[in-house]
Amino acid sequence: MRLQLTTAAALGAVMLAGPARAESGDAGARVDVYADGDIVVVAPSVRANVAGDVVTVDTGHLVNIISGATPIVGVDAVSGATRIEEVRHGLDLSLQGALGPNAKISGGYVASLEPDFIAHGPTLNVQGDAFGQMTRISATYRLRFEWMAPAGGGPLSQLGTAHELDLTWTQILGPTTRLTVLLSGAFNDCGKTFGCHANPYRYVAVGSFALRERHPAQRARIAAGLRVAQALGTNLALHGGYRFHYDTWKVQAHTGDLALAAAIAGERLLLRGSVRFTRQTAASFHRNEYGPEPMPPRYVTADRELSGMWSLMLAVRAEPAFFAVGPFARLAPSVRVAYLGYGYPDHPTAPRRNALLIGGGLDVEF
Amino acid sequence: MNRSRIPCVVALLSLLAAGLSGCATLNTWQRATLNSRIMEDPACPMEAAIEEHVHAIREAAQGATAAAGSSCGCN
Repeated sequence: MRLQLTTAAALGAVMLAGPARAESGDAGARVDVYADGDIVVVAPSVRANVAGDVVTVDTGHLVNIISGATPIVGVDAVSGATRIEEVRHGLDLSLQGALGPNAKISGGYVASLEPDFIAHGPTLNVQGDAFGQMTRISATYRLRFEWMAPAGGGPLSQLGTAHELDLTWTQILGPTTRLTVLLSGAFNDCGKTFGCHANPYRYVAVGSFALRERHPAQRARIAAGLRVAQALGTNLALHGGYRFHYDTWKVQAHTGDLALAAAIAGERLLLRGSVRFTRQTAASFHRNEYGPEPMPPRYVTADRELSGMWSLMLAVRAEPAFFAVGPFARLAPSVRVAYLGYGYPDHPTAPRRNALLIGGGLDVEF
Repeated sequence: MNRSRIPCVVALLSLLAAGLSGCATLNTWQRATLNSRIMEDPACPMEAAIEEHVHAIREAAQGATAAAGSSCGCN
């Protein structure tokens, strides 16, 4: 039903564009599967982008079918794994138009729907080219309203709001080199009892008590990144990036990634291998374990993702392409396999997690 | 690195990039490599969005990644 609504919304948007005539565009469908020791997520998704004379319409629908069990970690008072069976829908729709010969503006709406959690809100993007189209500057603002139901069921109530701002500066340095500077800031205000994104089903052993996970009510973060794409001849390119993250929960993270992309037989086969590594410090209120205390701590968490940790990702991707096939200018199936390894030195009872992210799909251009 | 220096480093690199680009512009025919598939970052936005979602669930850090959209040949 939601997929039908998305399709209807996209078609309606194209019609609302008035004189807009579909001249070109692209569409894609894919299925990704994420699996680790705790959960399996099957994620089919579709996306379409139709460019008219006046307006470009972009829309997508992602489904997460989640099954598995809550992780059992040393500080979790849940003595056995709790089964999870859940479906999440992610929907988005945006319209883009020209602000002038070198600038564009787009506005849209994004929604994420789960049985016990809903997030939705508008997005606005402005981008412009300058200096002989050697520079592109883009700014994106997102507002999100979050609603959550209590554990065990009940009506949804507003959890809070989130504001996000992304600034991107892309600079061409030469015929084979491109540099991108990224700045990102966000502010979450979850002014309710249990704070930002504390898991309502997770309890923490504090002495002889089991307390529901509780996080601070607000969180602000800032991230700065730098990315470089360097062509090595006409059929090979090296991509590298670094990202620094810091937030008011005192989480500090350094992330680096490197990728090598190759084109074989023109662009009839694209291959890419990549590696990514990140290391983060623990949130200020995170503890490995909570012993007996005269007063319960203000914040408690059993979230390994808020501990000092590292992660490693290795990925390979292949995309054969076929040109001028029927009505399509380009038709490209693709497959990608990624291994993700996580290390949690602060959690001796669950120090590692291994995961696979495997996906494939079909993209068409018309 | 001292945290307070991060914005300064980013600003300096931005100014450096702007300065370097001020030397010359590229004609359309000189942008063929920049517009080629191997220079796209990320390779597939749909893939990147799903990967970013996984990172956001499994790590505490977010933002300022390729999924934000850096692919641009500025043609």
